[in-house]
Amino acid sequence: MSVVAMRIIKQIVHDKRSVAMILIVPIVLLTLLYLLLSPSGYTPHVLVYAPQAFADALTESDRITVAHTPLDKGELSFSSSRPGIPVSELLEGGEADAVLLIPSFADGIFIYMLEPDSVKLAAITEAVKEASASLSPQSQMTVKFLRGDAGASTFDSYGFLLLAVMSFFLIFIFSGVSFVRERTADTVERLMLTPVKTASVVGGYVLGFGLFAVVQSALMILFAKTVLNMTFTGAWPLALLIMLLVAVLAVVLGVLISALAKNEFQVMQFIPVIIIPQVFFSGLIPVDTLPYGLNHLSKTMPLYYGSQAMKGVLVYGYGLVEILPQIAVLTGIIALLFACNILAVRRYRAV
Amino acid sequence: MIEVRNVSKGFPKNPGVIKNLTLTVGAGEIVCLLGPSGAGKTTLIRLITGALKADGGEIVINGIKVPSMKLYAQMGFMPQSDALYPDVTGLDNLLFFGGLYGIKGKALYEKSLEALELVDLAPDQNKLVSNYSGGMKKRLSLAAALLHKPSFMLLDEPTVGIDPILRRTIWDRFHKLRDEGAALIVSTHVMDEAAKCDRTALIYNGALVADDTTENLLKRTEHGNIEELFFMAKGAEL
Repeated sequence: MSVVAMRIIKQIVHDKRSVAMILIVPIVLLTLLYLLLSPSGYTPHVLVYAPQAFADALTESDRITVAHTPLDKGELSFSSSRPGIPVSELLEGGEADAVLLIPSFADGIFIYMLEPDSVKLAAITEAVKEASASLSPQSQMTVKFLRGDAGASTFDSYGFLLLAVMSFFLIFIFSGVSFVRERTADTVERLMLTPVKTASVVGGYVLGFGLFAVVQSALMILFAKTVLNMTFTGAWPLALLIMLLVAVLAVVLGVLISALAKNEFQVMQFIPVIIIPQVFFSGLIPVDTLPYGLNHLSKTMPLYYGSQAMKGVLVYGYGLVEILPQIAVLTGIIALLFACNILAVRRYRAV
Repeated sequence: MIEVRNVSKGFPKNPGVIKNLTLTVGAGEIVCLLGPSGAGKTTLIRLITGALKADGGEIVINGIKVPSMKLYAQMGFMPQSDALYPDVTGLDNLLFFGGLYGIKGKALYEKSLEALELVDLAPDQNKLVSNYSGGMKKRLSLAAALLHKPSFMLLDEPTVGIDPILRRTIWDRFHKLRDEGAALIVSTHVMDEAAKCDRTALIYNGALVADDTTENLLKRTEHGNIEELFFMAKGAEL
């Protein structure tokens, strides 16, 4: 087993690009996601046409900057389709991110924006909510989360996913291509015509790539924790354990897929079939509201258990006992795929 | 000793690749499998290695029935393609293949170096195989097939694409292995190589059409040309 693992390690170390792919790319992508998902500190500029009291309350908010045009009831002929002020010129001219219009409190609050932009809209609605609450405290709304932290950034609530998905994706490609090359170069036939045990071949693959997965995962955790300040509610060694299991899953899946592929290109063809649905259902998008019971589909996807365990540890602060079910399922799937791999590799000898 | 007894093999899309073939190769003997492309040489070799299971008949090597894990330990196999890892060094390739035979530590290192020496690759042992020339790869592939001192060897077109000088050195190695008591089966479609074998087995359409010393076979041809053996094979079929 160590013979095969040693060869895989040498193969990767000799290829500088592979080393960079395994160790540096995840860090770069993690940083990129951090920058994309973190609060940008952008404060939308809002043109406000509203009664003076409301405009004053809005001005106090530091979420938006406000330019107020006082309204006299008489000067505005308002209907919701014709605001009576040149909204489209104002927005398309780039004079403001939004126009907020309150003809009178009886009409409600109108916000006009050029196009949907959740970041800007979130800042504006939050400011409006605060302003309303300060004018009429009875309309104050408070949201509390039983699990997780309301103050957590989007990066905190999705970063765990990248940790799990990243090693899965990269290690899948590496092991899949590495094994398909064994087949195209006929080395697998030569290797299987020696007294080596089939389990040692598959085990060697798991061991060799597993070693890189450990280094990669440890580096990602260290970087996310210390440099990107990602919130780790639970213990990081548990996160490392889950990432390692996910990587081993990727190895056995990669080897199995390459048994079905004739060349590297065909391994790549399995990415949209095998990998992308697993990413969709891994918790990136909430699936519990899906119709036709499609949400149960996630339970058929191995990566789901890894990302759930990861979320449990990093977001909910779960311990080993709470994530044991996911760990058990993950281990079971790995054992099953390992057995399938042995059958697939055994084809090369008639024994 | 390699004994192939009444072996036949077919594939769903390609029936009758090997038809009731019987062939014996003794220890200390080199037998050439001579025949045109598609005659079944590679399939026969794969049956003997134990990569394929025969549909009928049996193959017995040194008293052990093929396929058997025990035989893998004493078999040297050189496939038609190089079957090497281009992204590691020549030495690392040998350390890997040697390690598969359970050779460990210092012995593994020594045997690998010895095999490299034997094929004149010692100066290039630390180069990546991707930087090797075609001939160097062939020699490394041969080194990988013989580093564990096999008692029988199967060499599938070992000198394809090799220049005449290198071909001679490789055949010198084969003769040395034979003289040390190994049984060798070498498939080829290069005529002059048959002259270097002790015996030549002519294969055509999956059947053995002649099996004799190369000298005797040449006597049976009109002009004594090795090329004529090919036409002999074809003629026997017609």
